[in-house]
Amino acid sequence: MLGSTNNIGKYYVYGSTLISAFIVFLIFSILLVNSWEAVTTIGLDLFNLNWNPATREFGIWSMLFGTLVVTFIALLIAVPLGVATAIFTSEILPSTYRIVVKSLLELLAGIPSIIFGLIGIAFFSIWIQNIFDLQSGRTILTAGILLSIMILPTIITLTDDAFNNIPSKYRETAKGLGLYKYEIIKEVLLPIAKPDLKGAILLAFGRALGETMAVMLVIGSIDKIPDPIYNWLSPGQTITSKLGREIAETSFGSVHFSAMIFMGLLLFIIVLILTIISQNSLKSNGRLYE
Amino acid sequence: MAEKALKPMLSVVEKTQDKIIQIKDLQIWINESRILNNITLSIPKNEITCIIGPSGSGKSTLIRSINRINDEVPGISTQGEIIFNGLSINNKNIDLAQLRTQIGMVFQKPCVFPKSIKENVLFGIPHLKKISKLEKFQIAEENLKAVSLWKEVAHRLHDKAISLSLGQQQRLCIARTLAIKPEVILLDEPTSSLDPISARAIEDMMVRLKKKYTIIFVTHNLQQAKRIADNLVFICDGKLIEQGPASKMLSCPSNPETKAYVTDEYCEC
Ligand SMILES: Nc1ncnc2c1ncn2[C@@H]1O[C@H](COP(=O)(O)OP(=O)(O)O)[C@@H](O)[C@H]1O
Ligand SMILES: [Mg+2]
Repeated sequence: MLGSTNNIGKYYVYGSTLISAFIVFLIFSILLVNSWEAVTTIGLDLFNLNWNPATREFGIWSMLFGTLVVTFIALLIAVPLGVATAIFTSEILPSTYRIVVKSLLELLAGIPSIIFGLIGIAFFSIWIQNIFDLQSGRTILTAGILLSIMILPTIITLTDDAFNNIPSKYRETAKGLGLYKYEIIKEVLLPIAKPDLKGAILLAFGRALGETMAVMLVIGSIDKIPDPIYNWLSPGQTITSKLGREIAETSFGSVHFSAMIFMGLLLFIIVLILTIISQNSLKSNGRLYE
Repeated sequence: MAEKALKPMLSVVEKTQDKIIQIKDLQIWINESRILNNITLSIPKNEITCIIGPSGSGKSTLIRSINRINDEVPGISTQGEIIFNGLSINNKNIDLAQLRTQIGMVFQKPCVFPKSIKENVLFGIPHLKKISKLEKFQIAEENLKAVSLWKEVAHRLHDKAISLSLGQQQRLCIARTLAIKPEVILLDEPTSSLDPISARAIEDMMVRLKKKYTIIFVTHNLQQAKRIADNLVFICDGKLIEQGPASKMLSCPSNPETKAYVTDEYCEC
């Protein structure tokens, strides 16, 4: 009896793992098959600067650049802010307040991204426009900042958990050796939490890469690399915003369609690699605590 | 001539000075329950004072109030005074981190940081970055020798400390505390999670270390206290039952409860 229920459990776990793996594989193959047309007919020109379906130019470089820069800005803002906030909530804030802060953060994480996009387009981009005296506030920077707010809850919650999982004996031992609180955080807690922090950042990285709706609304949607390259107060385009805007205009099977799918494939591969790395770093932390 | 006249006076001064820690009327509550009850005792310098008593009697609470590491326990309130080197440590404004470098602490379970053996020994030393490599090595050697660990680990100083056995880890923890050059070392049942041989090694070490340090050693193991203690403090149910030189308290205790405890390890309080 027990043996058979055990077996059912085992098959269930195996089964669902297999199904998930199969779905990932299926998506990958569909993307690969459908981008094949673009890869064979356009080849290396896919990584060109110009995107113009009318002249059969499908260079994705500006979209790739936009994706990387927007994500970079988002992480640049959200990681220090998020880690500092998490240190505050887990090490300084009394535990009763901590629960309140955490539930607020979870609420924040649950807000649909279109809402962020609407707020971004209605207020935030206007502020950027006025502050920097621009023609339009829909810029790469606007998208990056908005995105940073969206990934902040992820970073804070995961980092806060990482700190909370550190056994208190380390804090007590360090205190007993005469370390000040900031020294304990810097010398003891941060190094121990480091693998978890890496995992948190990679997860946020993946979310930032894949975010579409909010970015699409505020980035300005121009397929161009800013000039000069660090002028992030100019409009841009990310892979996701490009796909979201243009995929409906293409006809299935065309080179245009295939080039779009190729961008999807690229994004998928980047996210996949990130996920694998973050899984590994999340796994490795267990050994630290005996 | 003048020197001779001074001598007796000096020895009187020394008599009061050789009590490095004095505790006066210490009372501790956690929430509404009284954990320690009017504890008054003094700790002589350069001797081993063992705090004995059944488990739950308040030994940890007492020793942990000497370096004020109990401060952050939720709901705790303390009354009374603890005087260390003539200064009250209960003052709100004292620098606790500074105090804890003078009164070091070793805990019940060895706790090494996820770093190398050498980094662990040096861990508590302030401004480590300003110390030269050679000096660091010398500090590590000196303190690992003091806990008789040097021979075992000299060839693997850069290995992870977690790779040591529990007994070695606890000696490493003691070396780490010695490295910050405290005057007093508090040890809260440091051998209770160790095997008997490691425990004996630590006991022997305590006897050697008392030349340089004042040692306050909590144990619920009476045999251990008999082997190493110069002075005994017997605590039961949050009350101090008796304190004094170990030889006297073990041979002819003045209190019947102490007698019951040191002969039968039984306590009725
Ligand atoms: N954080 C705490 N909250 C409530 N009671 C506590 C706390 N810590 C210790 N106590 C109580 O204080 C008493 C003394 O504990 P402790 O000092 O750890 O004893 P010992 O070290 O002698 O075994 C025990 O009755 C214990 O239940
Ligand atoms: Mg105890």
